[in-house]
Amino acid sequence: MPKSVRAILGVLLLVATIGLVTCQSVFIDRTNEPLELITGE
Amino acid sequence: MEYSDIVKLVRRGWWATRGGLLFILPLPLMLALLVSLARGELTAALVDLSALALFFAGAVYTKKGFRKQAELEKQGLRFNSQGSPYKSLGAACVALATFITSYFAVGNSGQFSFLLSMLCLLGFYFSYGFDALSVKRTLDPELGVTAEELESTLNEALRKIESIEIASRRVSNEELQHRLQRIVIQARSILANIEASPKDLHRARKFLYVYLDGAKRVCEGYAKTHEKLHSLQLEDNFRNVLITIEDVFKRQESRLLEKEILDLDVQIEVLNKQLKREGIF
Repeated sequence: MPKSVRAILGVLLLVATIGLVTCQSVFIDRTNEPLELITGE
Repeated sequence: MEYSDIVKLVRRGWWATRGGLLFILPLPLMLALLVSLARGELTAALVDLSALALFFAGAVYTKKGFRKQAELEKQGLRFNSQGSPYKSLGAACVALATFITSYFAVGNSGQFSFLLSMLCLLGFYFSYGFDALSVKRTLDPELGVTAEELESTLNEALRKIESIEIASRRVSNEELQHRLQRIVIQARSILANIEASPKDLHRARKFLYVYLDGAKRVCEGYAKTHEKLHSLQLEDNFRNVLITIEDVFKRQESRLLEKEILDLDVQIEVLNKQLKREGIF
């Protein structure tokens, strides 16, 4: 596998996995809550 | 501040090495932490906090790993006797943090969380790689040098070269500074030669212990003195010493290379004889 393809795949995997779990941790079972807390509505 | 100073500052900063993405990706977890705190969920907040701490620890270790790698590459050496496996440690922290976030903070199943953390580890490996595993090298006992002896001697020599480099930055005369930089490059090249061919270690002892030590002491002494006292006589003397050091280092390097050529000649001769004996030639 060429180095550049490997690097791009690596970044995509990192974004997908870490991005997924961290975003899930904000929104899971708390739909709209972060937004409500921020906006105060 | 000049443009070159700004470039130097940018190149030396923490952002100059790779791994910045690992600081950005866990940021949503901060929001999750704030939400947990606002809701008064202490356990959830603690889970978020520990995952966040692990993510950042992983990012810091990865950065350290890249720095160490860059230092070794700058020195032209491959061995890493004093280094810790920072990048591998970083990868482990990030994968563990992913598992904790997925399993404890989000509530995904154990299998799915494990899969995510393994995919994260794979992503890390593809993007940044792990540390080289061949930290310990073994040498042929016939060489008369052990791997530990070689590495400790080279590390000591590297420290002396670094001291010369630091002293050279304090020298204001550009010509002398260039001479010192040339000496540093030559000394590193000699060390790289010794590393590639450890049997030369004994032949280079005088260089490692006498010349390099002398060069270090003279450079540090001059750097310290010329800040207080600006004397042309002192500058001339230092220039003469540097010319001698350059000459000695050059001779040392060519002596090592000559020995290599001689060794190669002997090997070719032996091979020729062997091929003739076996009727191939």
